Amino acid sequence: MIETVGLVKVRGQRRVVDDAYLKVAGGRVTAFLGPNGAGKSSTMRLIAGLDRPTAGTALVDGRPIGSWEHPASMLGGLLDPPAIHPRWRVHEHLRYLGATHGLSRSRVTEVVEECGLDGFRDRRGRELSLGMRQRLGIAMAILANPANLMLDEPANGLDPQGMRWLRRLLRHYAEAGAVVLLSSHQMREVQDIADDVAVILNGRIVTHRPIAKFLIGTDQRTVVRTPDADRLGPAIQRAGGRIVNEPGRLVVVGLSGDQVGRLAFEHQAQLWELHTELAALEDVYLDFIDSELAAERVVPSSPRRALLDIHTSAPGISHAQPANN
Amino acid sequence: MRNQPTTEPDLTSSGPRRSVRSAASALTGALAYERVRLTRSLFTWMLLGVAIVVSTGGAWLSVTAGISTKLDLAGGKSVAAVSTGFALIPHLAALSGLASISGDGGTAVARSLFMWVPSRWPVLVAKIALQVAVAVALSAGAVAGALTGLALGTSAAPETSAEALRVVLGGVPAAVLLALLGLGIGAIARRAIDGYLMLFGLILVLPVIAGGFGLGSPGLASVARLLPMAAANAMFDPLQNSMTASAWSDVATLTVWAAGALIIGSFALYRRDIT
Repeated sequence: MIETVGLVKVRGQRRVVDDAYLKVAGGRVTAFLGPNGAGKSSTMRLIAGLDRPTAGTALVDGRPIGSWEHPASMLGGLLDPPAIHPRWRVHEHLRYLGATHGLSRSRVTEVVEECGLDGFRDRRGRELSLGMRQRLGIAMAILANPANLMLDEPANGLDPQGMRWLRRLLRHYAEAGAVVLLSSHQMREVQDIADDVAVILNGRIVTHRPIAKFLIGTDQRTVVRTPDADRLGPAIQRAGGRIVNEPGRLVVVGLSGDQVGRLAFEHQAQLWELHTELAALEDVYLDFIDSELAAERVVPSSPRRALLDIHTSAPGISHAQPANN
Repeated sequence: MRNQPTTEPDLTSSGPRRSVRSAASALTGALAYERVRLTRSLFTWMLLGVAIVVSTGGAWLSVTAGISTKLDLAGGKSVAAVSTGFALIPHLAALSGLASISGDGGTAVARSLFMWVPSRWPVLVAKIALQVAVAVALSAGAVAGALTGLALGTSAAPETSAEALRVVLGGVPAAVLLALLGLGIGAIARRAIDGYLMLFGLILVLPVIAGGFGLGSPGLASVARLLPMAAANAMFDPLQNSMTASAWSDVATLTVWAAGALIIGSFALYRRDIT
């Protein structure tokens, strides 16, 4: 488990992390979202022990990361950008870090192969492309078989093959019971892979809930392809649906797939395609941020609100009882 | 690239990985990191190479060209060779100390290091230990180079002398203390370039200024005595004017500089966020 309890970090005059409460359990991939400057990376740096908190604590499996015998075995971290030395070779990055935990050269070789770096093991840091640097950063994160993974923008620069590999890796870790916490601005990837969403805004965790719950309440979209749009369209609008015209298809908002199907039957409209889709995470997230920013100007949110979110949203997640708001 | 990941997270509830950190284990890990890194570092071997080449050349010149003023001492050629050979070693040691920590910070490698060894003090202690070893190695290289230069420059077997031994016995701690001074400055400076400017200012620029550009100002001369390079030179240069009460005060002066830099540097490292 990765947990922050009342975490605060002040830099100069600004509270970059403002009383953050977060509890991320194992077995799920949690996307850590927020606008630029919201405090994602600062929170991750506090969890990793790179920054000293002004107040509060960050815990990995119940203890600060620095109190573990082999910290990299408890938390595998990748912060953006990856810490690559321009003159060190790929395998040297892994070998030097592995020496701190007594890891063998065979383990270095294994990770190099697993991360698709075996053709680049003797390349120096300055010779690596962005994608290769990212793979090396991920390799450093998983080198010690960590029980928890925390990755900041892991998909940066990865090609489609790398993206597929990353998805499999993260799911593999989550299915094995590890905590996987990743921040990303690539919403499509997040929507495909994440189980939960935690959003940070102005240094405070404003929500933490399963991604399905995050998308619930948004307007479901029903996609229809029909040669009889001139007949079906007005019927949909009379039934209270709103039509978003897209090339080659009708996108109906406000009516379920069942309702649209029944209308098509009643008006004898042929259907070539009918399916429903959730709104894109990007759209929902942006609307959420806008509404939160507007609400914050009126009533600042409770720092413990996100804990309440995750406890009431996901019965399958095992957590301690939330604090009162 | 493997299609399926094989790295399996270790989620066992017991075992050494899940034990609480001990001071010894953190230090052991940090020492292993420094040892492996330094022995594979081209920069370290380059410094050693420079030490050997410069000391060989300097020693050879000192005995063949007669440019050293130490030739008049008992065992003159030996003393001249060894003291000339040691002339650059404190500078190289200081540079090594600085580079050992500024190299991490300047390249963001410090981030990954401190994620693997989150506790700051074992990292600093490990760097101190390894820089002492590097300074001793540089000194050994200087002695080897000086003896080689001496052998190349003389036809007869060189005389051994207490003065030559004094040079070595003074030069080694001088190199060690300057390496620690460089390390401390590297820990104090936020950016690598700031560390280099501070170090070179202290060991190269200030002595020239304090020497009054040769104008012989007594006020500046008293300041010059307290600078680290002046103390270091006095420790191994048998002809250096005894500017302090005894040889031990030179050691004390340089020790204060090194200790002060390390103390301030360790405090800065402890308090600082690692970028």
